Amino acid sequence: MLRSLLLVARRDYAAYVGRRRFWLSLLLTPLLLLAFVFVPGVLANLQSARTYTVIDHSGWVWPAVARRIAAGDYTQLLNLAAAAARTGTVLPQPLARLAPAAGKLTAPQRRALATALAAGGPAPISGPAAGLWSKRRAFIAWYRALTTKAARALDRGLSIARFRYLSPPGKTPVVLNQAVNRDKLFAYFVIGTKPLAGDAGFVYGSRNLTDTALRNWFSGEVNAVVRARKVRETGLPKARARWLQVPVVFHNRLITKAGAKRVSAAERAAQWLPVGYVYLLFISIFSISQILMMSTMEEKSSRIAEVLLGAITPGELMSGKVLGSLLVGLTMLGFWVVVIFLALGYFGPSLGGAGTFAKGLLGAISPTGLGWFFAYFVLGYLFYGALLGAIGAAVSTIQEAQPYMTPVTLLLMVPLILMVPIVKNPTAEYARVLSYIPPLTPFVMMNRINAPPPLIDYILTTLLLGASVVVLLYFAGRIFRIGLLNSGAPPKLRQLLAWLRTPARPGTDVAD
Amino acid sequence: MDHPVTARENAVPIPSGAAIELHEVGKYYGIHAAVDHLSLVVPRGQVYGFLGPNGAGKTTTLRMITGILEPSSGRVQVLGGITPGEARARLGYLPEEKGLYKDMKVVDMVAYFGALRGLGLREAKARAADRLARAGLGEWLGAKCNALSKGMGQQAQVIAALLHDPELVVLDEPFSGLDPVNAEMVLELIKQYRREGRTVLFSTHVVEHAEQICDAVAIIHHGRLVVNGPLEEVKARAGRSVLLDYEGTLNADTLPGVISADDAGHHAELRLAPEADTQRLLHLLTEQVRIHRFDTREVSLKQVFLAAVGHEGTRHAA
Repeated sequence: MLRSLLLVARRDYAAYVGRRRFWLSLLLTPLLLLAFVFVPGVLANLQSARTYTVIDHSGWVWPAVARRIAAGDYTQLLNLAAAAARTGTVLPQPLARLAPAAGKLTAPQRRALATALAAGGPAPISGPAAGLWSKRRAFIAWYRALTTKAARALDRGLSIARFRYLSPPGKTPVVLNQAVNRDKLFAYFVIGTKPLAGDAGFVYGSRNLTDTALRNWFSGEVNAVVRARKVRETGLPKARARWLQVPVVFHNRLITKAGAKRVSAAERAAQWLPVGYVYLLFISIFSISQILMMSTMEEKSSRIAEVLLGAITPGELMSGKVLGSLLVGLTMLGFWVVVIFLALGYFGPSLGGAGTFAKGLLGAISPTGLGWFFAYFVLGYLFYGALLGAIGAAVSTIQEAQPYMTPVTLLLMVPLILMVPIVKNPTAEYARVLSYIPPLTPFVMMNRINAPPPLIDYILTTLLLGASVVVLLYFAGRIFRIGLLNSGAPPKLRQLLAWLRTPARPGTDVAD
Repeated sequence: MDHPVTARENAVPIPSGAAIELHEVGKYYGIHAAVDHLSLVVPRGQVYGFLGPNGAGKTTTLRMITGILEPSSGRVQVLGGITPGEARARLGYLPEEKGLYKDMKVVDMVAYFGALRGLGLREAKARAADRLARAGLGEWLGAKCNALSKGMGQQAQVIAALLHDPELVVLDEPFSGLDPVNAEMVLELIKQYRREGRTVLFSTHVVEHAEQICDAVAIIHHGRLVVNGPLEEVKARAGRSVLLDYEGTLNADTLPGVISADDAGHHAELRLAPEADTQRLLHLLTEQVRIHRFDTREVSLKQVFLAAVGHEGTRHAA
């Protein structure tokens, strides 16, 4: 019994993993998943900087905003230099020359120096800041000459890595509009004459109003300047004014059984790990259940089944095929895990935020989580494999299989639809209820893993799923036994039900 | 086909007990009886023809003998009283519709079927390579099955089904769809198995094939056994016939002593009643037609078949 089963499993396994197209499809799937994570970042890199100009009717807002923007970038560059002094990261000149001195300044000192550099004074009196001040001309000239590409290579957070100011081609709306229409400008801003009185005369003109990054960024800068001016005009002391403007921020704390803890960006990314689990479960279970169905159908339609059944029992054949496809699935998952780890290890650091996100996801994978993932993969596959394997035995062509596959496919879509709502609210009552529905159990339980379900949920849902698998395999065995030798038109639903009612004892087949 | 081992080398010692014993076997699908109370004993070492028109229950019976189907009633025993399930490794089966794993290498596919019948993997592969080479498929060992021509595919299927040198060989319509060269190969193989002392049971529509190589025949009709026994005995039981070559218009059915006539125009076989007077028959025939040949002999198996299954058989008997 076991020998025949293993022979069938070995053949089915070799038949799939020996195909070049199998490995190609394996490669394509993680590439697709990685593309979901990294393509937005790559596209953002490829996108040229948004060019803009400003018509300032107030006479004072734009100079202040320009200083503020420059100060922001200078601060980031000084921070970069300070970090390089600690880590030894190689920076281009003249930034590299600033690194040792920048490393000696505190963050507020660097911010103050950047503000002074942007405003042209006052010069720091002594210490490392004074040393840096003496190199300001070379630094500012270098900053102004920075290309978008070079700025992005340094830090994608720099404003000049994303947005570029161009001198106005003219002051009239007609000229500005022409510049926009001819793609000389992405957008232009018009600042009204009395910003302190309100937003009359404020305009943002662009052909693309869906990309709001430039508008939001520039609005923030202008608002900060106008707000500062308003505060100044009220006569409040600077410290008082700053105090007034400090917003209240809620700091995230992740509550676990061990208590509350601060969350890093990587840990926040890890909150999306269940989505990865559910996707992988969906793709792998669906793929290998289909493999089982197709190979069964092939053996039936090419009349190999009868030769096989002359040599081994239907039970051995079905078990061997189920095992073979399961091994294909495990190979598939193992390959994906290795490729994803290697790809993220190699490319992750150069991908900025996306890399941090991916690193966070991988860092959150625990042996227990992985254990449950594989357990649910096996059980989920046995559940859907029994369904699709039985369909493969009952029909001879993919067209005949279609009507039976549709409900199974729809069933498999449910976890995908629920994936995001559950990951956002893994403790919801509906999530718990859904995890007790066997066809959904593997997906919903992995979906809830961030707020780990109670042990009783794991035990009961797994037992329920296991029992369903046993029942399904039992009935699939009946369809398999009869269906494989059934030729001619595909069975109607009523006939399939009759096969299901046919006990697996001698001489009671309902079809030849 | 050039078989790798000689008959003497591969001869099977004949143990006691029948190769196949069917006791009141029935197979029912609802109210339809595919096989009905069928009892049959096939002695060891014989080539047994299993004849019947389409839908007679041949394939169902063969599937029960090979353990693919379980009988609804009765008992099937093979190779001295064991069940087909217990005898799988000693039993070979070639179904009517044969399939290949298109993406599998020819040698691997043949070895796989041998291994499923109990051969060790290494032995199965060596044996597969050897037999395929002897059958002229040596250049195709590493090729995918879908590269084989239809004839070569059929050869590979036969080799795969019988790689484990079974004691009992069950062939369902082995000549169906074969070109003359492959049909000859199967005929030779059956003869070789007889020489080696193996038992062969095969179903066929081609009565001439059965008559050519069978030691005994069984004919079933509507799931029931209607004729059974050693070939010569069956033919002798059916009486004599006259082979006639003639010119003119023959109306043989009206002649005394003629039970049935298989008239092809200018040539006919007249099956005679036991009491038929051939001298009188010759005289009466000369009144109807001009006779070139009048040959009295035992009836052909085709006549036996036609007599057993009636008009339905005329569509199937070749």
